[in-house]
Amino acid sequence: MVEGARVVVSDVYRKSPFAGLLEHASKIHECNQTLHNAIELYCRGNFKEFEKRAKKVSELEAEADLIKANIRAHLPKFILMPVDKGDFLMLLREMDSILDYSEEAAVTLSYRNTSIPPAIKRDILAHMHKVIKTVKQTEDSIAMLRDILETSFGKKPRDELKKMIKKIHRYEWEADQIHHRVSKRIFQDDDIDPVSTFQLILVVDYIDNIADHAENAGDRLRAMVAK
Amino acid sequence: MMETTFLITLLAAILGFYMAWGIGANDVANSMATAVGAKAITARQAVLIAGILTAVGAIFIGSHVTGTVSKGILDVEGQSENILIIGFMSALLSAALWITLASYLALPISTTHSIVGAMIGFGLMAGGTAMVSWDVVGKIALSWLLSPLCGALIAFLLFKLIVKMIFDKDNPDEAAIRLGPLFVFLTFFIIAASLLMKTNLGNKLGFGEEILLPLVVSGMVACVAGLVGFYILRNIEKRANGNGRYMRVEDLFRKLQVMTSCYVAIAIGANDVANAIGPFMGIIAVTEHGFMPAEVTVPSWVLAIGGFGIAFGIFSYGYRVMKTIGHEITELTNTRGFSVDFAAATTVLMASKLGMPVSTTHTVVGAVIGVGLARGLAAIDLRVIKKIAASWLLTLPIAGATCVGIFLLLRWIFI
Repeated sequence: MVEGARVVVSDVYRKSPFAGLLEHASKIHECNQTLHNAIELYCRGNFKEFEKRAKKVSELEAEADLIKANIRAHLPKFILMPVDKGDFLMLLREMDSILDYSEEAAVTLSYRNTSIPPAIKRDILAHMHKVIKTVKQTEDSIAMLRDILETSFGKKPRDELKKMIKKIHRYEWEADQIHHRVSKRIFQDDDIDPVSTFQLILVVDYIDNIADHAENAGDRLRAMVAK
Repeated sequence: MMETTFLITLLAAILGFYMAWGIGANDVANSMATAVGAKAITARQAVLIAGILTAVGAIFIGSHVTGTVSKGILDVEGQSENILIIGFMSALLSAALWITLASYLALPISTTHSIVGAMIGFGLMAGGTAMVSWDVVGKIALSWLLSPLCGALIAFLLFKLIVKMIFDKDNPDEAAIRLGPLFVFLTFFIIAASLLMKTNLGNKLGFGEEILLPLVVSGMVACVAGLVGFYILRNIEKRANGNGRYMRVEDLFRKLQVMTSCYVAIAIGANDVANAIGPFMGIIAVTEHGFMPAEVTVPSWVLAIGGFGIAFGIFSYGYRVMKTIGHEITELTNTRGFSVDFAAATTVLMASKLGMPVSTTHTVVGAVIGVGLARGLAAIDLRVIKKIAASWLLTLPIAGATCVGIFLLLRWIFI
């Protein structure tokens, strides 16, 4: 269209940035599943297959980064959204962190092929399981945006969102508990060599961070749709 | 003398038709874009409906604005017949020229603003500042400012109403079924009132200058329409569910959306036809009386030329434009489109009743921004406001200057 004053009716519409947000959320889903898979393989001692999965996690994180950059690049000053742009971008940032820490966890495991004692193995898997649950809850909350936008912030979807976010808090707390438990076990196990201890502590820290940021994302989401 | 009169009238009629054709081609998207974007109707259906209804609006409601454009802007007391005819002809020619260039080159020219600018240009050239009725021009300028604002306000309030009365409820589907007939009633009431109050049609039916009787009749027509709407909406319930929880509300609004798109088409016809045949009407009035009479009644055949011209414009370019716009507007749903259409149509019809030629495009854009402010749309491009302002500032002088040029040329040739 020629730069100038000719106004065509379609000039006022713009592509929805929320579409990009939902796309990013689907990457989170894929990435987390892949990470879960990777950790299971690692715990079973199947380090070759683990490498492949870890690589996939990094790829997905990079793809999500592109989506994120794309969204950020298309939010100029003159765009008017039904939510605060700052809240929107901060939500995106927390979502980005979920992926960042997923990658950190996978990459740190790949630094060393450690043989994990059974009790700790069980805890790590339980921890991962709970974290997945937390992130899934966050993903579902973000998907709730569709209904919220359609009803223009109607009461029902917002109330449902509040309930879902409460659940995120609960799951994150439960994940925290398991994190403490497994960290304690790792520190108290004298059979593990110091380097492996360091590696495992880092990994469970990163996995816990995933849940932390999933919780933050939920809070940002809540702030974003507040009336 | 009779021959020249006939020739002049014929030339003016051809130009008027050509102008109308250009206006139809340019503004075709204003009425149906929302319905096509929300996938309520196909581009083909949209073109057909828009063409027919815009012509209807032009012929049955268009007289008021035409009157203003043809004789409201200029005070033609004392001007010679020839000067007037040449002047109106120049206005038509310059406006038609710009219409063609505007479509072809995507130039920043608004059809409404260009015809008004051209008339002012002629007035200033022929009789100086005294010839221009600045109070009328002032009112027109005010209407250009107010129409997008009014569109925004009505759209904002209407969408907020829909949110409060439907989306916020525990059962939105039921709420939509209950509220739907009310909107049908409102729409039909406004359309009927516009058709019957102080129009050619109203006169034929014996209403004349009365206000109360047409209003009552409109009310009755609207009630019937409301009841019909009520039954149709209830029967939709029996059909299969949509996918996604709020699809049903949007489904229910689909019929309302189509209805209001028709409403907009009628309103646009009523307002835009004046751009096409305003000066043409001026020429007819002057050739008939030898001067510009105090009262100008616009005959139906003049309106028909304008109306059919617009319809042809819509039919010739409409499909392509509608398809393009339909692809670009993907974020629109029926509830939003409905709010935009209702607000735009009501604003434009009110302006038409007041005899004010407004830009229908700007009004629609204002309505969309209104819905955006009501948090109804995911993303709105606010740069369009700058474009609207630029359009106001650029079109008048450009069109005026063109008209002056053509006027001087014609005067030099013929006088």
